[in-house]
Amino acid sequence: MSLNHRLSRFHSRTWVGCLTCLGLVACGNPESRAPAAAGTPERGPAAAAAPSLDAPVLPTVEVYLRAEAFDLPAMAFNNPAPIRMWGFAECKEAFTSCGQPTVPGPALGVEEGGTLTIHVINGLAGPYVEPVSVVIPGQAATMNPVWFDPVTGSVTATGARPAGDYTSRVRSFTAETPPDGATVTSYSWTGLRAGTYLYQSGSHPAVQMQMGLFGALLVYPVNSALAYPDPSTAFDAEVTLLFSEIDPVLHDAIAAGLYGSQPPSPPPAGWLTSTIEYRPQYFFINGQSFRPAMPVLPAGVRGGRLLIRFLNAGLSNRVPAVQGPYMSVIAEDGHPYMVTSSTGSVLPAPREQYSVLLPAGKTVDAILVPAAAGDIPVYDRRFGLSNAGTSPGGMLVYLAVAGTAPSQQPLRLSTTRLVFNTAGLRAVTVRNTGISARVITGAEIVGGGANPAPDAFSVSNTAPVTLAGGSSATFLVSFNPTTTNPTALLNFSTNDPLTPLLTVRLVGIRR
Amino acid sequence: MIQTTQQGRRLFILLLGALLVLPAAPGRATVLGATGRTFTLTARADTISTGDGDSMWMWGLGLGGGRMQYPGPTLIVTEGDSITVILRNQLPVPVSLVFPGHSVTASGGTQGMLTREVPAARPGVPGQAVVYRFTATHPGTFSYHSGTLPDLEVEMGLVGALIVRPRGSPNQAYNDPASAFDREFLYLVTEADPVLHQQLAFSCLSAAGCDLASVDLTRRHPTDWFVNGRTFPDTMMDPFVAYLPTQPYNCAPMFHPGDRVLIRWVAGGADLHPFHTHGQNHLVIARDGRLLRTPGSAAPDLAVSDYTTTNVPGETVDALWGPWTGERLGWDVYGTQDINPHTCNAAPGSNFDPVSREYCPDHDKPLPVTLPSQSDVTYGVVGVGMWGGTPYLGVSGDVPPINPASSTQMNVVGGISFMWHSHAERELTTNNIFIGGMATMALIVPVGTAIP
Repeated sequence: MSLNHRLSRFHSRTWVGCLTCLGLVACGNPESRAPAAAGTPERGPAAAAAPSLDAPVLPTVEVYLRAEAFDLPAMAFNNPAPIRMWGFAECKEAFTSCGQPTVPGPALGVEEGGTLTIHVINGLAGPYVEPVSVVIPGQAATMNPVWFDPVTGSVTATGARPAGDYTSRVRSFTAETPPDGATVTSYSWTGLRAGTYLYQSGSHPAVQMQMGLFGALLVYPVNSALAYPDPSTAFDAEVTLLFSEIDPVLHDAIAAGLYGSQPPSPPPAGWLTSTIEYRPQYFFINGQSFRPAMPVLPAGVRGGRLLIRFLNAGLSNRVPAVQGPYMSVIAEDGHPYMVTSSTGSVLPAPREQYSVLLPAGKTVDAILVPAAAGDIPVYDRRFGLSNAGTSPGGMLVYLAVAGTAPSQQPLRLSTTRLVFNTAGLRAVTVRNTGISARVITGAEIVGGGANPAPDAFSVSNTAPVTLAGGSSATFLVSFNPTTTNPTALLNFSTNDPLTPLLTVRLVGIRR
Repeated sequence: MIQTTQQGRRLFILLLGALLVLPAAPGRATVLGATGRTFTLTARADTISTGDGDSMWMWGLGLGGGRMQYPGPTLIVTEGDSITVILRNQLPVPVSLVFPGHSVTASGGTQGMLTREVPAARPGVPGQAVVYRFTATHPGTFSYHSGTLPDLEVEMGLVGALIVRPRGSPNQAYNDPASAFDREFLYLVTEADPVLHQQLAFSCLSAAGCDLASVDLTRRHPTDWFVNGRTFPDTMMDPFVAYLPTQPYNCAPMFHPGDRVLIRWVAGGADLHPFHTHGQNHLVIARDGRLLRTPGSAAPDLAVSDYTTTNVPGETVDALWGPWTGERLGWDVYGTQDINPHTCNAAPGSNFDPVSREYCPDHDKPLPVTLPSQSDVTYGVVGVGMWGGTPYLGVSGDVPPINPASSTQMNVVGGISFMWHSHAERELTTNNIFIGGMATMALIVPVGTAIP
């Protein structure tokens, strides 16, 4: 699979898949992944309440990640020796099976306002391992920091530091998952904010960020044609560019068991007591360093609105620069740039730039409208453009803009795929983004997918619906499992000549 | 008595007016560079001098077939013009040019990573050329740099500024009148690691020729910091001095009270530089050659006031500093009557004298500081003398003894100076010699003093 394939324009509300892979490690096929577990009462609010047409169903997304150590092979990017990495592998529900660990980890796509639960098993192996965790800067969560005695190294408290204890220090921002390959720790976020975020280990991040325990989280507004709940952030295509670095010295020390703040006496040669001497040698976008034959990234069409999500999981400032066009920089750290005018109205305040400062840990979103078809270079203007000094390499990709004029299809679906964790209702919205009225002449469930079972699904409304320009209609799909993992298609027929048929793929999960 | 005083004031104003008119060409302090629509640039090797007494082997661009300079020639063009840049190459490596923010078509040479490249020069082989064409669609401050092995070639000096003036509004940075300025100064900030230059010089100047693998840019550790290709205090020497033949551009801002000063920042290197203007805040009006404004607004309604602006590699910032008048300092910047007899006649509805730009509510108020005795002050053994003998505009006085071997009295007109410099203080050195690096002194001179 392409290492950099972008999400579809109409991003599924609950789709969880691998956007990016590192080096020669293969990605799993997102279509084969079971993105959600059988609902439990506390995890299944979607099914708990009967939603009204005005209140779309907010999904609960459950993700299963397993931290694992693996080696990038020698010469993957001019590296003379294998490089030990720690990465997250995406697993099927209840960890029945796992894919390959990747750096960055699998990109997670969820819906604004929803709930995300990441279940983690720590399968790190090797002479040096650590407990791990998951935090998402910018998304609210209940944190349970882990405190330790810096002299003895032993854990002294979790949660609040005990009164009177002024010496314990935090070693993990939230609860740890021990490296036993078995313990499952669940990390939850509710009321997710729209935007672009990094998820990452919150345990000993000085080591674990470098080792690779991070990935992208993309939170879509209910209207998934927008990056943020503001019309100025509409986009037609999107691409995620996640910047990261490797300083192999730390990786080699970890692989050889030569890391720790308290080395044996005398310290063995090559022992590292900290990460202070950080000199990255390899530079990556989406886990790939540039090579001349590298595939380009599909980036929409000429005249279309391309959303570029920049993330920096490295430890240095980066300056992604597009060569030629300008971008409209619309958001930073998941917050759109808005200003309050003198009359009190809140207005979008995008910034026109051809490059953007991307400090470590930050995310920035930009909209680029290519004036012409062709390949647009994107590179790091701080010149992380070599592999251990060998050029060309490093942080350079090409965005491939197709020449087809953008279509003028006014009817858009809020999702092209509905996944049911449990029996219950899910909503799909058809929006008329054009000016003229359109008619949805019918809504029908037919067989399709891997296990066609149209009887397992029904749709609330099959009568013709007229959509005035700018309006939308919501249809509720109910799921009542009859067979194992039934699938079907929901077809909307319309009077719009460009989109006579709109299809939503329905997937039910039932073991 | 009243009559006499008014006559006296009129006379003073008349005198000031005469001074303002007297210089044959008052000369708007402007950015030095090459103007036109077609430019031929040749990439060549040469050396530059740094303030620690060192010299560094560089790759740079020369105008036409001329000697290379660091930074490359500042290209000054007019909005709407079709620009042609012809690049030739006498370097042992391929080179190219990219113009961030511009839609460029390139022809000739070979296709490289970011654009078309001129192959490395080979003895006895006629040099090729690449022609870059673009339309200067928008006014503003921009840059250009090599798009070939840019981590190496920008470090080596293949970088320059591009200024697009708005058509019909040469005294504005952009088409909106809020960008009008009285004086403008370019700050192209770069940094260099002299060890890399030595390594490359040893390799490229040897019989074996350039071994690019001998330099590892991931180990780069800059220790020299430049404004317009010079380290402090060379930044403040005259432009085009004979002893800096490959560093023609200076950076010595001079202006009068009340002037609107445009700072054009271009971050040409690979590191961030937080640049600080002493004296007062600057108003950041544009970044990357675009005014900071909400969609639909002509004026820069998103401009922000700052005293330190981060210069991000490859990006540009336009900022307006001033007008500085000494307003509300609480003392008379022209000095008290016993030191400098003068008047302050505020214009109707204003607190300022329209000629001297003095803030009249503070007229004749003394400096609330007891100055040290002349025997207690000195110029440093290294540096540039910016003390004019008094703290007052236009009033010179006795200055401490100067060691002519290491210092120069730079302020003979009684100006008030403010250091404008990188706020990363370690960048105020030149290879570990303080004071040096990325700094200039901005000098406010009294109204009537001509500015070169």
